[in-house]
Amino acid sequence: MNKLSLRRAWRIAYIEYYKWIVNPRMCVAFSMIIFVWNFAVSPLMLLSREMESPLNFFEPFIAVLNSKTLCLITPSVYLFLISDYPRLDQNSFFVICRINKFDWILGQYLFSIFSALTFLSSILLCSCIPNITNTFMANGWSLVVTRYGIYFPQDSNSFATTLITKELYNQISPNNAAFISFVMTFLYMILITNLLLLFFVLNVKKIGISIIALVIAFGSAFGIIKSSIMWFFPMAHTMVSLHYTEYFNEPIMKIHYSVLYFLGIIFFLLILNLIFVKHTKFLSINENE
Amino acid sequence: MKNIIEIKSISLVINKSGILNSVSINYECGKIHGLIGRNGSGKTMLMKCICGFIKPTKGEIFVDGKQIGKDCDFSESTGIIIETPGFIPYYSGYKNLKLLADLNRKIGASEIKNAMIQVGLDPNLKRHVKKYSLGMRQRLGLAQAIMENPDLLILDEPMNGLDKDGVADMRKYLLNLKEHGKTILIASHSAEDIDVLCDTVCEMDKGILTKLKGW
Repeated sequence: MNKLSLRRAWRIAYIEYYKWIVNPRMCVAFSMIIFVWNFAVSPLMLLSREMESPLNFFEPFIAVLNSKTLCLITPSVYLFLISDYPRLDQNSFFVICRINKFDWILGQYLFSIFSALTFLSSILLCSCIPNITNTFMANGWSLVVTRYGIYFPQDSNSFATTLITKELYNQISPNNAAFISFVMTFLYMILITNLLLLFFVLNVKKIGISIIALVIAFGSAFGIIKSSIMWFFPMAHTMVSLHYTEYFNEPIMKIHYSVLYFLGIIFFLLILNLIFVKHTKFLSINENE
Repeated sequence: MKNIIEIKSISLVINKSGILNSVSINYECGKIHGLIGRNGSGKTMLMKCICGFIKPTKGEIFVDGKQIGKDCDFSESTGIIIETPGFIPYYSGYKNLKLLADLNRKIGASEIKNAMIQVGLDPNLKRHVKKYSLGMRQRLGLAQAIMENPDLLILDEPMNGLDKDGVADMRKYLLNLKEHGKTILIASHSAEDIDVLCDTVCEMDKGILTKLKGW
């Protein structure tokens, strides 16, 4: 029973994932998708129609994950959806008594990966699929993103034109931008779940959620004003556009440093979780609150 | 007779309030042990400590010779019902038990179905647990506790939500388990349940355990 079992961890992740997916708070995810559609996808499609020129397939997705206006929304909604992680209900006692704590931690990690992938994939699909007939797949930025301001100077400062900035389209290809944005946001979400897990194993879950909310808020604020302090927060490492200047080739922060930042913290948190889980109190939800 | 549970002066403090106060007791194998006490007296917390869900602030707990939190994380070969049994609402009773049984793969479909029949549930019922009555959920909780044939059962208010016939069935079933050498630790508010079922009785009051009967 005390041996770590991948199969048991997989089953735990499956049970947790199922409970998460049928949770009524998932309605918030749909609201967010509508919000994202209105603020990022729809404006880009309007520009595209105005210019009679197609968008790159990934551009709406890149806009959602790199817009300074929307940077607060994605992690905040994810935090809301996952705020009871690791979920401990009456059913959890039946699961826990059949496993050991390492299985449980590993199961929670697998679940956090599934949930982050589901959340990001939903954003990807909902931002890219609706406009699929008016897009191209070649690895180049569309004229809508790069030339709109030149064709329509009177609208060059409109909200839609600020969604994908020169820091992105002058420095990196759209496929790379989409891939890196996906990976970085995924790592950001894993970091959030790791922090939640740490505060749970330390038996201070409520305080933990407040701290994470502050980390998201301050990270976004420093990212928006481009303060150098932003690099202490995960938000800046998530946004590809913040890694570059508009024209100079040399990045402000190398992408692989950001990957190392996330992996280092996630690994450190994993170690802490494994150490402190020995002293965790498995109380029910009501008792934890 | 051999002790299946040995509790050595455990204390539990949560948020600066004392929940358990130097509790020491040994429970022998093959008996039904009763635990009574008012709401909030610490019965459930003691059971959670025995299961390994909570690490006591002080003291040691041994279940079947293994120290909880040292030799194993959670007590092994133990079936539990702690608080109201919870299940995945959109799965049938059988599927819920199958999910739990698949964690250890000690048993197969026939043992799960057998456990359900023993507690008076139809394993072929396709109805979601969401639509089960409280009594049916309680029975399903008992089925999950017994399906892997554990040596020890820890049951917190197992009669909750059961009708008169259900209580009678449950009592008969628990006495039958005792005859087969199982040990049962049961917490109940019903004096009749405790009277009919238990070989030993203890009372918990403000975290202090007092032996009452059969010691």
